[in-house]
Amino acid sequence: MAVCAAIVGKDNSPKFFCCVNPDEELAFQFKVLSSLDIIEEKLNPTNKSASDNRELYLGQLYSLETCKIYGYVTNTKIKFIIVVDSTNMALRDNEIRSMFRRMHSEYADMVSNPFYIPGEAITSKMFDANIKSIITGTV
Amino acid sequence: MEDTLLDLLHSEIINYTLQNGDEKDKKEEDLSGLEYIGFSTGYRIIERLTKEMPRFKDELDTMKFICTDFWLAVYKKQIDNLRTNHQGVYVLQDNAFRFLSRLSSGKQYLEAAPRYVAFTCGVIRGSLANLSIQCLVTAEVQSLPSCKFHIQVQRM
Amino acid sequence: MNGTVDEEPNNLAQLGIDRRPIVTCAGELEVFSTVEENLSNALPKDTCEWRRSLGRPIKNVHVGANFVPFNVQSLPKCSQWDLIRQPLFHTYWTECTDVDTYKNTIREDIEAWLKELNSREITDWLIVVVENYDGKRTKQLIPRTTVLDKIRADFAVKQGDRCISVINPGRAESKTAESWRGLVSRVRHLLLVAYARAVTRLEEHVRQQRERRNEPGWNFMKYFMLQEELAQVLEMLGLNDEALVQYDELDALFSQFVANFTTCDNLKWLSQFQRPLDQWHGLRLKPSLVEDTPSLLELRAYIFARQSRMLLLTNKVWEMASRCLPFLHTCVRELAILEITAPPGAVWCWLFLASMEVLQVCDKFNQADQVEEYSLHTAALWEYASQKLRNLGELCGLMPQGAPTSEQLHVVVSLSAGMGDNPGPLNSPSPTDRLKEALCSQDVFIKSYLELAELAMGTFKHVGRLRMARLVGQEVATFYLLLGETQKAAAFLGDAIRTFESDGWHELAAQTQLCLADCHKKAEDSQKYIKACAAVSAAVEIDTLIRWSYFDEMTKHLVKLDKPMELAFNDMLRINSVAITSDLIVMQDCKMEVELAIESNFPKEIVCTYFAVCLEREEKPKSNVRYHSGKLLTKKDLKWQDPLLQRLRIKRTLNYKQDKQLATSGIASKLTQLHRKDSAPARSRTDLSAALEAEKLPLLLTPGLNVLKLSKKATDVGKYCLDAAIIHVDKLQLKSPPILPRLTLEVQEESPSIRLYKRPAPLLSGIEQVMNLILTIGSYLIEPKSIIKLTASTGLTFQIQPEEALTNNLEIEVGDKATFSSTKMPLRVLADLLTRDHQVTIHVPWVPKPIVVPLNFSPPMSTTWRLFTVDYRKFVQVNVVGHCVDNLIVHEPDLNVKSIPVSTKHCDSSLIISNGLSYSFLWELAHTNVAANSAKAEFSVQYKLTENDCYKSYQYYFDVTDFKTLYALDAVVEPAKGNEFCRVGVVCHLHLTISNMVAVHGKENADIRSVMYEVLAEQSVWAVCGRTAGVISFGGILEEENAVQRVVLDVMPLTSGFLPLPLVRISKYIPADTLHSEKTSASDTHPRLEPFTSGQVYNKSKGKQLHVIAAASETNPL
Repeated sequence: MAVCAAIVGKDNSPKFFCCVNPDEELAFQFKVLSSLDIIEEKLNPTNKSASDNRELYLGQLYSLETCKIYGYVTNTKIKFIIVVDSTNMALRDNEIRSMFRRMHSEYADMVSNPFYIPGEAITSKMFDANIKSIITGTV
Repeated sequence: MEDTLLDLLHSEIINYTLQNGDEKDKKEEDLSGLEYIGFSTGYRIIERLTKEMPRFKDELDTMKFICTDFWLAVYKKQIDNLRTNHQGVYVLQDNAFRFLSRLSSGKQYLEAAPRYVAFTCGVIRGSLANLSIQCLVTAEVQSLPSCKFHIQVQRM
Repeated sequence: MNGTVDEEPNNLAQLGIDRRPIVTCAGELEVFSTVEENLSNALPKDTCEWRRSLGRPIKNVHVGANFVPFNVQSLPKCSQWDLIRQPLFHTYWTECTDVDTYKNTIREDIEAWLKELNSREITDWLIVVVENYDGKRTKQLIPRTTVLDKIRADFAVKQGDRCISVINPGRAESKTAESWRGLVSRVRHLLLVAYARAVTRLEEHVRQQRERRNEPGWNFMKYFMLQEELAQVLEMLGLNDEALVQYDELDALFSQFVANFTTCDNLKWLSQFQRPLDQWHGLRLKPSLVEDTPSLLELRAYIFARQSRMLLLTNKVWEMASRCLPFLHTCVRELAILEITAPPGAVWCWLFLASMEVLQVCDKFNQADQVEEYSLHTAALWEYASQKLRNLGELCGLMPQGAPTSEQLHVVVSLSAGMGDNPGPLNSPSPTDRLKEALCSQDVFIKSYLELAELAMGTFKHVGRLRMARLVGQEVATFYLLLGETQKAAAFLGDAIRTFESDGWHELAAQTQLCLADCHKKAEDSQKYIKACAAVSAAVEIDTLIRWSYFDEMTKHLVKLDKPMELAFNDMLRINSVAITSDLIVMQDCKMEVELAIESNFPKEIVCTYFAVCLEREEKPKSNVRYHSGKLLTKKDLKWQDPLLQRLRIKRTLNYKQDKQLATSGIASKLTQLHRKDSAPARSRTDLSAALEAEKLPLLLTPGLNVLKLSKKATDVGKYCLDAAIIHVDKLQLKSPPILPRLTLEVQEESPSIRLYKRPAPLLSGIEQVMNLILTIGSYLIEPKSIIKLTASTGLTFQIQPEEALTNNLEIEVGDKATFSSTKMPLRVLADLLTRDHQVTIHVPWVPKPIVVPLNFSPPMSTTWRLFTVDYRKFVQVNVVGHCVDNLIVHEPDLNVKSIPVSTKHCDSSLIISNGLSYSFLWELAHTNVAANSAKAEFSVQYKLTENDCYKSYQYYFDVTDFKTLYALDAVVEPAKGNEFCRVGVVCHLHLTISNMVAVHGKENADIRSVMYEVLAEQSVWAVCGRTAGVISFGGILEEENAVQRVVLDVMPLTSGFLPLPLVRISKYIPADTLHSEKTSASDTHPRLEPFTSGQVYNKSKGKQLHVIAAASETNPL
């Protein structure tokens, strides 16, 4: 069960942010922002290990004392980030991957919505609810 | 079944978009609106179509995707020929372009052909735009139903 | 290469751990003892191939040996798992050279020895025969069986390599070197075979033990030792990466156990780790032994130390660095899971020391070419260390502006004690020392913390992790704030805000603004404080109450400002739309109006003391700036458009071949300049002199949307564009960025004009007409006393004053006229009847060139005339058509024909001729036999426009020519003989009579003798049978009057009814040869026809009709 999910656009600005616990949102925002540095590093074409990785899933970006941050970047340069609490040992890599895939599906649906203009923040309540249920595993 | 739907919808979009302004200039048909509809469509659909694909290595990789999986998904066939000068210019040749295949082959409807390719040029441009490739897409029809799409990548 | 490896010799040896295989020696031990040292040293020098089980690749390993005397008791049992600790290779040494001696003694010994070995199924043995020769050996020419051969034959028939001889091992001679080498390699090889087997046994054993880990009673530490033994064996063999794998497995295993601690029941043994923490020595990366009952941290530290060691030995120092932080995190987590209590700050100390120790190791590898790698892997560690130090500082009262209480001093003491001692070499304090020092002294603490934090920031920046650097900067800023160094703090916070904003993380930027505001408040920097408060109050992401309080703070401080302060709009105010409500082209002195929709993000109302939009004068449009045509900029227009998403102009193209056939068609686009983000233009100077201002000040801007009108009177002519919007709130001057795309306005002046218009009706000469002289004043005033001069061409007179006489020249004073006024002055004009084209020249003071207005007059009436004939009588009809809009009053029409008197045939009265109506007057010419054929006639009539006028005379001159009647025509149509009526389709006779009316005397009119007649019948009505034309000659009879010629023609009516008679025309016939002109050209030989004028022929039968009845034989369907 993840505690926070974020969708960051091509220009590195947040398009969507949700936390299971709204009090922690600010702290998580800081953490997600700093994880963008690592994502950039991984996507950097001069980085040798980066070009070998053909997967959209980037794996664990870095670990913090209280949480672990995972990243996933689509071909359209949209970044998905999931934050998992470190005490949660049950969540395995496969499950995180599938969470990302579901998030990607949701996002693709959102982009197909003609009322949503790509590049703007996502304000749909249904989207919020769907993402929350994906990360809390209640799908 | 869904193939026909797309063909008919596409024709209707063309009719609708062009009827709104064709009183003025018969010679210089303004296809901007049609292309922009395609742009918006391509931009949005590419998110869904690249969901299962691995990360594109480089520009050429992306173009190959457009020629194979993407074209297959939208037009039910692949691009027949891809050429590039490796300097950012790509030519995609489709010898039986779906939207032109309903018109009689040859040169009879050559004058009307541009209308039927404008939307697709927009789709390509929009898709590539969302894949962070800014480009200009034009088309050339010599003899229906064969069509060539020229992609010129703008290196910023 | 990762730099140099630790130069310490095998650290296992340092620790007293010897994992070398044990080799026993039997036989002549004195012989062996001479060889022992050399052999010991030589064995590990070279590598030997190690073939491994389970398909693993072959490795080259160094193997040493530990030689002990052969002891039957200590021989291992074959199936022991700890074979590896037992003697596993057995050697027998002998110096015997004599076969007999061998037969007698040695052989038995060897036999007994081998029996022992074989009884335990030990097959790893070697018999060495040492041959020490002094001199030449080649005394024996015939090679006899040597002892070696014998031994081989006796004991090792099938395993020849189990016996070997070595020559002169004690001496290092070149001749015997090869033999020595052979011995060493043989020993090595066979030893390794034995050893490999033992290692495999150990591996299996370890695996088995691991399988049993979930059984009750399983002891982790015991298992740990076991697997570590394997690791040490591998390490000894030089297979450090495999040794690492063993430690990694131990690491993972332990982690797994701890992770499952809460869920599994049989992990009670973990409780041994749950005792409270009493030591926090750090990692102690030097070689060490694991304690018997280590604490969690000690165990973890030990494993990490071993792993680090292996990593360093395999040149992977950066992997060690990158493992450190996750490792420390894991430790913290495990402490929590196992609920291990620790004194406050103890864990932080341990974490700090651990980080610093690893960093210290990394420092040794920080060569120039490794800086990138170094920075990448150590940056986070620096940050972590600084964080932990800060935590400790807060705990121990070492933060700036604080002082430690006695309790806190106690804490420091106990923390220091728990750290233990770990002195570093001279001049380079160990991490422990540094921490102790920092905990004792506030200054040292502050210095250390800042050093670490800034190092972290710098390192992050160096590797391009800017955001992480900024976050560290935020932390440092709060620290500096405590230190009172507001400048530095503000700098860091400002950096952070900029980074957040540029990435679009507004909420974070807003929160940081809060800190920045507090910082500025502390610094008592009014201006910056106001700026920050403004930003906070306008940030929608912040809680409203907070925004209100900062807003109030801002206003409070604004009042205290002594000089004005400029601030950009940023996100506080946004221009949503701009609309020009006046025209785009405004006349001078008119008002330019603009309506602006401003969105205010302030949480409360603000009172604007001034609101304006600057105007920038711009005659020529700049090339790199976007312009917007039209009057309105909507929100969409003002938003920055991503060039990637722009709409292109796509056009159809048709390409034609040379023969105009369509070759290709396609679509193309004009390559529009793909705009980048509009770079911030140079700061335009605020020129408020040309600005559209708000009318009603002060203005209240409420939170949300405000629509405001601004206007300015247009004074200077020129093109302008809207620049930036300026809002003053007391001394706070807010300025927006220039409004893009640009809207342009133009101020034009209109010059005065003067025009002379005629009324709709055409101008008539001879009558006074009124025209309109319209003077339009433009955008500026004209001097009232300036004169407009009007000059008329000859024959034209005019007058502007209603009562005065008409004149040729006029001077009009402009008078006091307002701008944009138009004055209509009726101008009376009169043109005489003689000339039609006139012009009026107007001189105006504001235009140097005179204005010429051409005027075209037409007469008030037009006249036509006609001549009518009845036999000899002639009538002249004069038709007058009036052209004047008003009615003309005419009387006394009069016709004067020269030398022919006329008599009036119309009634003589005043007539009113209206516009477009015609009136006819008829006179009869007196019948005279005047010889002349033409006469001049003059028609005159008196006319006036109104009753009060006097009559003016109108004349019309014309010539009456050829009016004498020469011939009279008569046509009669009679039915064919026997018919009473003419019938359709039946031929009738047309009797044509041509009478000569004028006696021709003499040869005067000799040429009018011949006349040609033509029947011009309507083809659908009459059909002429036979002749349609002919020539009649009057011959000599012309001299008589009324000479008559008769012709009969056949005609046939084609339809029934009252048909007009067929038209007959006569023309003068001039035969070909009667010309008496000398000049004869070809065409003159043809006979010619000359028509007669209308007065010369009188057709009596014009207008006659004939009744034709239908054909008898026809069945007429009617």
